[in-house]
Amino acid sequence: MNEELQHKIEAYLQGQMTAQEKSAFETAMDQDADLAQEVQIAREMETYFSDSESTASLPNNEQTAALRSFLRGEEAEEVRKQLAAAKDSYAVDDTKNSKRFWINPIAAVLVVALLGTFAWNYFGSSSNADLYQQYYSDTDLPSLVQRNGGQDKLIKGVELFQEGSYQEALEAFDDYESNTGELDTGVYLYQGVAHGRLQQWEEALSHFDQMIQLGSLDASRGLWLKALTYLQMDQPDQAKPLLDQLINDSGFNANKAKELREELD
Amino acid sequence: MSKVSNHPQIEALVQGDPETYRFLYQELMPKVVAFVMSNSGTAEDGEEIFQDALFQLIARAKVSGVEIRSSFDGYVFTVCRNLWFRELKKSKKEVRNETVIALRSEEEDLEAIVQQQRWDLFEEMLEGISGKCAELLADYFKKMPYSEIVAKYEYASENAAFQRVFKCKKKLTDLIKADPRFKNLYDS
Repeated sequence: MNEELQHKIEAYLQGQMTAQEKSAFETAMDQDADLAQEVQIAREMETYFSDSESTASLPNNEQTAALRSFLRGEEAEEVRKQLAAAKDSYAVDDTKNSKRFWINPIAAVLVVALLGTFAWNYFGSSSNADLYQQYYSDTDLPSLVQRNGGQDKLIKGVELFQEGSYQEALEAFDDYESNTGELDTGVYLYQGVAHGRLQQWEEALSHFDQMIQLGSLDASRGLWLKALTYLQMDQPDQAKPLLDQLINDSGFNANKAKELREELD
Repeated sequence: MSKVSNHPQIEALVQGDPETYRFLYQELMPKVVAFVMSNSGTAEDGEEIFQDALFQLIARAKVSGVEIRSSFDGYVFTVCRNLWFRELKKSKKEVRNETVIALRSEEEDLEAIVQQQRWDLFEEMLEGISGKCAELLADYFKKMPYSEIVAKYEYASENAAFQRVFKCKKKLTDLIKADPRFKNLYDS
């Protein structure tokens, strides 16, 4: 493949060709299997990196035929039944989980948000994403401090967060911050994660910094979450000094930080 | 066609191993459900996606094999994530009255499987190019303008940036095409 062809593939995939150019290019693809293959790979590469919808066609080969045959056969039906039975036998009643989420909304939302952020950015690097999943656990979450004034707004923010309305959740948190007399600083972690879900990295990091600068007990929790955020951003080098700090200060999850630090080397 | 499943938990899943099932349904499924719920889905959607992901893995294990380079649970989560985003994109195109995602057709299952296999191949081959090349390709495919690529990577010109993208893309394409799995995943 030469550069000129690369320009053409780029223009074709980005919809920058005139109708005439497009038609000519498609005719060329029909006549040139190698070109068609290059375009197919480039198209799938684009879906991989940009998380856009795949429009690449299925290959017409032995494996596709074997998979299609399996999916249409009785064995596939048996597998579906086997999995349905397994779910009935092993899954825990999730209504109990939902109640727990309401008792501890900050904990719940952080579980959801951090998992979400991890997955949203998964394509950055599988190894960093794997490390995130390996090192994240429920025990990392701050306990909910019950307060009176403004608690309803905090809960509202949590609800919006759970619906995936991150921008609105941030507005609710801002509202909570402006109107509450006694701020639950756990909201900083919450806001940091919310901004992360919107891929507003600077804001995400800045909220974790706010928590860190408070110097409270939860400051080092902020440090840990900030380090994990850098993994989500696929910037492990930025996570390293934060983990070093946790290790040196014997801070939150210091042992895990040590293990993770070694993994990053 | 070889049937290689390189992870013992894939084999355990296919065999219906109780401890593997317990781990999957009690430890991992709640995380997947939480993820789906945080991305415009319901708990029921999350459970359905989880079942579909396990079904996909078993189908692949039985027909062509599954090779996992990351952790088993990390991989299952990734498959769930990809399936869910496929559903979200599909649902944007369809007018629905139901909140529960409709059952997929066999052909859609097949498309999801092949796409996952292609992405697995991409991810693995990405390790064969430099980190900077991979980062550059990610920015390029996320439609970062060449002017910004020039600034970020300190290239001399947009043409230099284009040539670098071209080289990185070619290197990745060549690696993908040289892999034995390639012929099963693309028309030749």
